[in-house]
Amino acid sequence: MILTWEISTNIENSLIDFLRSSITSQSLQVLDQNGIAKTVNVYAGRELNNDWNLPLIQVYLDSKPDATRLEIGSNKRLRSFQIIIDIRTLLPGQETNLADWVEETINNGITIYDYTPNSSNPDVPTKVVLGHGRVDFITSLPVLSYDDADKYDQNRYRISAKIWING
Amino acid sequence: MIIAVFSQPGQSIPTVIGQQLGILAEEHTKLLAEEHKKELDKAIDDTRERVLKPTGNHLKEQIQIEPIRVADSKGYGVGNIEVLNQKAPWWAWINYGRAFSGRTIPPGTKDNPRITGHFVPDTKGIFTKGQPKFPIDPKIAIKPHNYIEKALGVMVNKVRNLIKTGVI
Repeated sequence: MILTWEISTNIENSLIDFLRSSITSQSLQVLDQNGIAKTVNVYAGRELNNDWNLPLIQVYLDSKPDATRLEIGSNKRLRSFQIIIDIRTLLPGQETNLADWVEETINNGITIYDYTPNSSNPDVPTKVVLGHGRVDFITSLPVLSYDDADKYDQNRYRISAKIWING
Repeated sequence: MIIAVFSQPGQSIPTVIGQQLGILAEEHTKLLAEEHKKELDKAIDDTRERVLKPTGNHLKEQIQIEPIRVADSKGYGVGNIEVLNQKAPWWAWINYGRAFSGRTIPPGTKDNPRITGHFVPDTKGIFTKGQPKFPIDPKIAIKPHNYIEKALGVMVNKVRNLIKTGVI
């Protein structure tokens, strides 16, 4: 058996999918220092990549803090998946505004998909609905400013949230 | 949780209840602070990539519980930022993946020729000053360990449990 995406990766990618489609459907953009509108990018991964373009929303699964049994005699659990959302923008203040947008956008929860590889189009995996993920916010605050911070850290905001799903 | 409140003759019951609630709230706050400290220690240990150096300031030791007094009420804080900035300034680097200097990769001999030393045998990665002095030039950035968020993620449920059942 070749192990493909399991629940953790499915949740991470479902959130990324959701944010990307929300950005597209709302044509969400922010202005740069020259007044030129820039589309917000969404990237996956704990490690910052210097090829990423600002403004951006970085999303990754950090931990799985809860796995409570739902009932006696069942192996079903109520699981939570703690996600880190780092928002990095070009201009000060935009990171807070974008964080507000993210919180409002995911507040009602997100659809979780089960992704499977698609050999005919590897960049677009096949997906079927797995369930609805409830979102609980844990922290939401600007990240400290740094002395010689590079462009990625000058205006940074971090949200951590738990996504809950039964299973 | 059920708590019986007794009042002496002549004592106002609402006042007695208020006093009891104050005591209970303080006990709960202390309990949560102790639990939060444990969770922070655990999150730091769980995400540790190198073995603990036997000497020097350690992040865990600098995160302590401190009583906070406001008027007649007493609360507790976990981790004093001023202490951390002074004694373990790498707290932010470890959590957010970025040092106060803006660095992500630790400095090496190319940045500062005085940074030399050697790996201590059988310690799985402790680099120390002193002879023999070899150059070292780290190339890998420190990734965010998110120990603050990890601990808070667990504490949210513990607070709910404490409010609901009276125990953590």
